[in-house]
Formats: sequence, structure tokens, C-alpha cells
Amino acid sequence: MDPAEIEFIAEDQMVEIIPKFNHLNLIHLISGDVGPFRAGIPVKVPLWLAINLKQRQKCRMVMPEWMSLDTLSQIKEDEKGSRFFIKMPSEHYMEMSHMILDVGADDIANLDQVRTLIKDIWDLRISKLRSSIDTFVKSGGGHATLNHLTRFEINSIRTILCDVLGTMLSLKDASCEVDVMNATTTQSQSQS
Amino acid sequence: MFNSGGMRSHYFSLESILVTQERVPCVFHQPVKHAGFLDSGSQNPDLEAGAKLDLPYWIAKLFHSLNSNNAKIIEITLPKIFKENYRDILTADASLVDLTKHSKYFYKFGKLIINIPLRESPEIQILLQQAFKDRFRKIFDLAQHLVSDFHGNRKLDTLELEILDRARKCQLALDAWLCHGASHITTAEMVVNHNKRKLADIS
Amino acid sequence: MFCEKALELIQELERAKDLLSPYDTDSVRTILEEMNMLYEENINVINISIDEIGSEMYAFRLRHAALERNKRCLLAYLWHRQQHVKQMRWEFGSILPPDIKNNLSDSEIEWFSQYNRNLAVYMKSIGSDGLNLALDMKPPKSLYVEVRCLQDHGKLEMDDGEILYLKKNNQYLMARAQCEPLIRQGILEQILR
Repeated sequence: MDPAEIEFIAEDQMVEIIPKFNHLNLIHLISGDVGPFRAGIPVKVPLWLAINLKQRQKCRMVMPEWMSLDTLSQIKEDEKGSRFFIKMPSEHYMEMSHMILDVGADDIANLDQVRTLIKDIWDLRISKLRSSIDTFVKSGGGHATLNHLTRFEINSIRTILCDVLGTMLSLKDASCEVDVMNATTTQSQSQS
Repeated sequence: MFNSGGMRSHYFSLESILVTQERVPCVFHQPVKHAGFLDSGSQNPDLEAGAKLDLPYWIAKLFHSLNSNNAKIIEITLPKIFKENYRDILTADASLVDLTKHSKYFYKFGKLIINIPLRESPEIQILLQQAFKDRFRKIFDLAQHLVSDFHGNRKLDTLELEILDRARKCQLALDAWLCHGASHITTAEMVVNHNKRKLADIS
Repeated sequence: MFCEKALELIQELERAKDLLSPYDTDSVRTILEEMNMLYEENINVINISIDEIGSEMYAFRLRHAALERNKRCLLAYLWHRQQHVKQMRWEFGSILPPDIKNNLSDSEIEWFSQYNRNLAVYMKSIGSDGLNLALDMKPPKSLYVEVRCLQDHGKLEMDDGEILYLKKNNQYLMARAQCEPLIRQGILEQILR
């Protein structure tokens, strides 16, 4: 998958905004109803709508709770201290924070620190992921359980991991997928 | 359906066609009429028993499949690249070896050889698996931090290059996203190549 | 040696993977001639007396294998080229640059325009007023994008009928649907914030 496609999926996550306008009728969308909007009263909307309103200066964005400095520092420490992956507060932490930090910059206190913390957490997790894959492949790659990886993280290694495991399987089971040109002559052997 | 990476082979696969062209050492135990042309050093229209030739795999395999218990036509022996001394080098440190020295298709050729089968097949199979495992780290690292011209790295066999190529594309997409986000529309790859070539033609 | 020309054809195809070389009529003809020859020779073997056929068998099988291999190489050649031509529809759009079109065989040109037609009919049939599948290759983010023109392209008629003259290095704010094909074709580039 392209990162843009995963970001697109993440845009369905609900976030809180504080509208700067009034629109008292519900808006009926395929994904559900949104509204009503009252200036100054917080309301939950899908992230894509929040971003669109924000870009047109129609609202302020409220940061998800997990995007606070305290929570993020705690996550970072936990991640550092654990051999395993810890559960992230949002399945889409990377994509969401990326988008929110991008458009909602003026609504965020400590913008740079938040950005750095998220980057640190990502780097920690990715290097953990890479070293576990390395060990996994070296050990022969039978099966492994990895909990709490987010979709975006899995995607970053999907291609190479699938290719490598597929190759290892085909080297292990040498009779599979022999050159098809010889399929007629080797059929009896490969079927046995 | 035919584009996935790894070992897959199919009827139209260029690699499958090219790897079955790799040569294997053979000894003929029976004469073969009208096959003298296989031995470029001989003027004889027929191939005599005892002839020693390096034949393309697809021909060797054909004669091999015609072998029967009481009449062996051909005997295939191990290609140099899988001989014991070469195996030893690989076992010592596979990650440093230039796999392409004897064949661009180390793994796929290895698999064909295993499947003939030969006496050494089990050992070669273990060798292939071990070599791939030992060399994986290198591909993994190259995919992430790239030096611009990774195709210059000719020590990787075709299969490894293919895996690297695909992994590299994903990494670039990820890097681009981290830098610019998702909205970026780019020129189609074929168009970029086409323009590059046009420029090269002009200059 | 059998199948030499066929091997050359495949090697050449593999060497120049990311471009479409001129269709190699001569090699294809040579290979077909070789196949005919192999076929004729095997037919002759079948017609000889039953006593002699045993000693001819190995050569017979060898020629047959060569015949099959030639066929495989030819089909692989055609198939890979066809995949390339198909991909070009999505990257260059419905009109190919003339220098590329020159490299196609007559039947490949025919196939391309048929594919074009089929695709157009299909895209028109989706929904009530059609859907251009070549647009929004990635999830779109905004209706308008800022672009810079990379070459003097000349007149461009906008969807609203307005005429725009695209000049090199000029910048425009354009509807995404309007400029995406032009960006894909390398005429415009998106300006990143």
C-alpha cells in the first residue's frame, strides 16, 4: 500500500473541533451524520472534515489527548523500557499526528516538542521492528507474533518481509515451482 | 498476477527462460543421432557416447528425463558454482561473496539443479537457504539507507536485486510521505524515463 | 545450436526492461522459420519405417523440445511487450508520443487502440455519468493544486471553457482533475508547500 492510502483510511478517525460558525442542521454523509455546529461548542467530526474546516479557518482543532507532551513522553519511556511493542493510544498515531501537526500548527502548544516526541517514538519502534525481523529471518522464520504494531508500521516492511519469507519458503520446499517449461516431464515427480 | 517478487516462475517469465539457458556439465552414455551439432568442437553429425559437454539446462534436462534404469543417456554433474570449494567460501561468509560471478541467477539456478536431482542436492538446498539468510541483512540495510546507485552493487544475484528494488520503492514512498505528506502528484515513471532518454539522445 | 535467435530476443528484452524497443520483425520471422524447419524434420521422422524410428527418437525429442522452447520465447516476447503497451496507456494516457508509437508493431498499435476504446466504454458506463479511472491515482486532498509549467505546451481548454496558454515556468492554480493528467505527463509539476 502507498502511505497515502493508509493516511486516507486514518482520515476517518473522529477528532474534536471547536467551530467558528453556526450550522444547526445535521449534515447527512455516507459515513454518518455530522453536526450540529455551534460557534465555540466542541463537536466531534471525522479528521478529513476537521482538516478541511481548519484550512478554511472555520474552526480550531482540539488535540487528541494522547498528543499531549506528558502522554507522549510516557509512551516514549515505556517503549524504550520494553522489549516488546507497547500498545499505542491510537492505531493511526503516525498518520493522524502527521496531518494534525501539518494543518493545526497554530492550535498546538509545544509544537516542536510534540513533533520530536512522535518522531522519537516512531524511530524507536521502527528500529525495534527491524531488529526483530532480522532475528526472525536468521532463525529461519517459522512464525512469530508481534502485537500492537500499527497498520502504518506494518506497511513499512510488508513488501520486503513477504518477498523474503516467500523466497525462503520456496528454497525450503525445493519441489514447488520448478520451471514450468518442464512441468510436463516433472509432473509425476512433483505430484508425489 | 505475474508481477510479484520472489521465486515465482511462470511460462512467460524472462528469468525462467534465461536461467534454464545456464549451462550444466554433462556426459553422454549413449550416442545420439543428429545431435553432433551440440558439440561445437566436432564435425561428426552424430553425438558419440562418452562426449563431455556443457549443455544448456533445458537440453540436459530433456535427455535426463529420458534416462531409464537400464539405459542411461546422459549424466549431469555439478556446475562449478555449486562445487565443494565454492560451497565452502559461501559457508564461511556468504554476505561477502559476489554471487553473480558464475551465474546471474544463483538461487533459481540452484533450485533447478536441486530438482534434477543430483547426489549433492540436499547439501545445495541447505546452502541456498543459509546463503539467503546470511545475505538478507545486507538487502534489508540497502533498502533502507540507500546509496544512490545501488544497481552498481553487482554482488547481488537477480532475485536479491528484485527484492531490493521492490523494497526500495516502498521506502521511497514512505520517505516522500514523511517529507511532503500525501497530496503530491508526480510524473508517471514511464514518462520520466522517456524524457530522460530524449534528453540523452539530444546531447 | 537450436533456439539461438529466440534467446537473443529474450536477452534483448530483459536488457532493456524499462523501454519498448522497436518490434523485431526480422528475429520473429527467423524464429518462425526455424520452428517450421524443426516441424518438417520431425514430420519426416514420423514417416520413416518403424524399424528405424528407435534410433531417431532422441533427436526427435530434442527437436520437439526446441520447438516448444522457441514457442515459449516468442510468446514471452509478445506477452511482455503487450504488458508494457498496456501500462503505457495508464502512464502516458490515450495518446502515445510518436517516437514510442514507431516502435510498436501494427498489431500492437491495433491492440492499443482497442484497449483504449474498451477502457473508454467501460469508464463511461460507471455510475450515471462515467468515472475517469485514470484520475486520483492517490486519494485526493484538495480540489485545487498549485502547479508550475515545465514546457511551452500552448493552448489548454479548461472545463469551464476558458482558454489558458501554458508557458514554461509560469505558475497556475488549477483544478486537480484538470491538471493531474498534465502532471503525470510531465508537462506540469506540482509546487510543494
